[in-house]
Amino acid sequence: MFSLTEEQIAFIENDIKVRGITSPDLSVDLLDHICCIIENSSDGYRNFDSVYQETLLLFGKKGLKEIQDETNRLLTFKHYYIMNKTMKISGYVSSVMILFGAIFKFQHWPGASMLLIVGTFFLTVLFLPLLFILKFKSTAESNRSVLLSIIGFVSALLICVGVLFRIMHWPGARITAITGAVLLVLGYLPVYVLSVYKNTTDKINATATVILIIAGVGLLVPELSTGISRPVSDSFWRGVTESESSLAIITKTNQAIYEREANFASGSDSSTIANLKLVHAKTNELTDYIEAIKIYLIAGSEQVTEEQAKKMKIDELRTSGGEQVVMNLLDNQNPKLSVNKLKESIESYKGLIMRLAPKVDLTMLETGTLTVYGEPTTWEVANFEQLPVPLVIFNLNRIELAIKSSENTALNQLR
Amino acid sequence: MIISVLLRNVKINLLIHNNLMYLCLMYSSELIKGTLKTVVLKLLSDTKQMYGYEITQKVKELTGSKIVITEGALYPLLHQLEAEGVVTTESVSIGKRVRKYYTLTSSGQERAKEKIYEFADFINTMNILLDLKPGVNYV
Repeated sequence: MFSLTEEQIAFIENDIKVRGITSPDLSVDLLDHICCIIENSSDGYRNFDSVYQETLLLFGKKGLKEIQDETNRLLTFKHYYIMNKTMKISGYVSSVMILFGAIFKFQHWPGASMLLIVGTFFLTVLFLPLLFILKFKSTAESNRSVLLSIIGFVSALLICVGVLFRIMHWPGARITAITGAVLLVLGYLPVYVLSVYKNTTDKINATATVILIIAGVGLLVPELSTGISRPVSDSFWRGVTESESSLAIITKTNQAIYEREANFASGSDSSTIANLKLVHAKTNELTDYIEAIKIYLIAGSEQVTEEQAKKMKIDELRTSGGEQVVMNLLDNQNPKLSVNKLKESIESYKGLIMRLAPKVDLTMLETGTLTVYGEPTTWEVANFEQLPVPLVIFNLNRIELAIKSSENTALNQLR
Repeated sequence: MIISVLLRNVKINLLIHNNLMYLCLMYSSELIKGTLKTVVLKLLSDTKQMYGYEITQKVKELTGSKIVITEGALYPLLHQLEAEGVVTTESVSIGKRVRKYYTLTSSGQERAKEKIYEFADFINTMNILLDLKPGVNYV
């Protein structure tokens, strides 16, 4: 055994650096290791250069750099097993929760929203990030695979959140999910085909991935854009139109009752007449207020003047949009018209009817907590929040009908 | 030595290609990967302190070159063990260069014992499972 000269050691030390070893800790190890191998070889003394080159071959095709990469990988992912376990558990928990959430939603059982939200939370906050970090770790550390992981993660996140928002009827669902879908098709897919598909030996699996992504997005996008099926939307519009004609009929009937009773004023005592007049006036006041809200909503969502809005028929309205105008109503943006004022007026109207005609059933005019699909909902959420303008108008028609029918019963009881 | 008994049980065959000492294992790489940490911990628990080259030579010697630990596997593992607090290092100047000695910490000693027991138990289980008779040469 001989000892390497200082020059030879310095040469090796420098060569290790040139070969891409940046960690000082590791280069100390490697320098000593390589020196030991050469010093223990039989002809290292005579033929340093060729023995050194042979020694380097021991480190495999990718050479010294591979050792550093592996070290970094181990150090960066020393929590690999915890991450792996967390990923699996969060994956199981979220899929079970989402599955049960879907069943609950389908059956209109309470708690569906909670299950879906928490399930999606686990999916997007724990499962998806860990999946892509670990997937990135298992593949080669090329820039492309990092890019692929990031695009994949972001688009999956957007699609999941978008679909959740859609199910929950929250705003921004369509744009979120469609952004995710576009990113998946125009971002993820090309990079995937360029890097993974070309290099993989498992072409069947890779082809299946490409087809599934395209088919999945193809099925998702139309679902997001059309929303409701044709028969359902037709029934809705028929319901809206019929509510308008029912309203016209009951208004006419009530007017007739009122006029007949007022004409027979001489036969009744003056307090009954006064009560009839009061009920009729208050009813008209309230329904006029609702009509004004409707005009305001149409003018706002269709971008027309109030005069033009008055002439518009309900089936000429666009089926979506106008949520901002509804929000203005909810947030008291309009000094004259607001959901709060409407609620107060309905309450005071109910108070009047209860005082004058206690037997009138006022359950249709409930403004407290309502039960919608088995879940308690506030009156504001059930009738206004996040709804498109035509639906809000339909709800206002229903409120008007309930008021007019209360008036009808009250007038009949009073005379 | 327990270690050589353990390793002989596993019977790892190495083929040497093209004089490059490129190691080709007949067993799945997962099997070998799982044993490396145990082997290194055992060696360090027997000897107070060792440096990397010494570890590779010791394994070669004990197994009659049946197992050769590659540098590509050894150093990442040693650095990981250091980060986990299983080993500590001491740098000693050897002329122009520095040699790093690896020593087990007290938690490392525990870890070595656990790993060895776990592996010995695994071997026993595999003996039963594969119905291996002692003293019979299966190769």
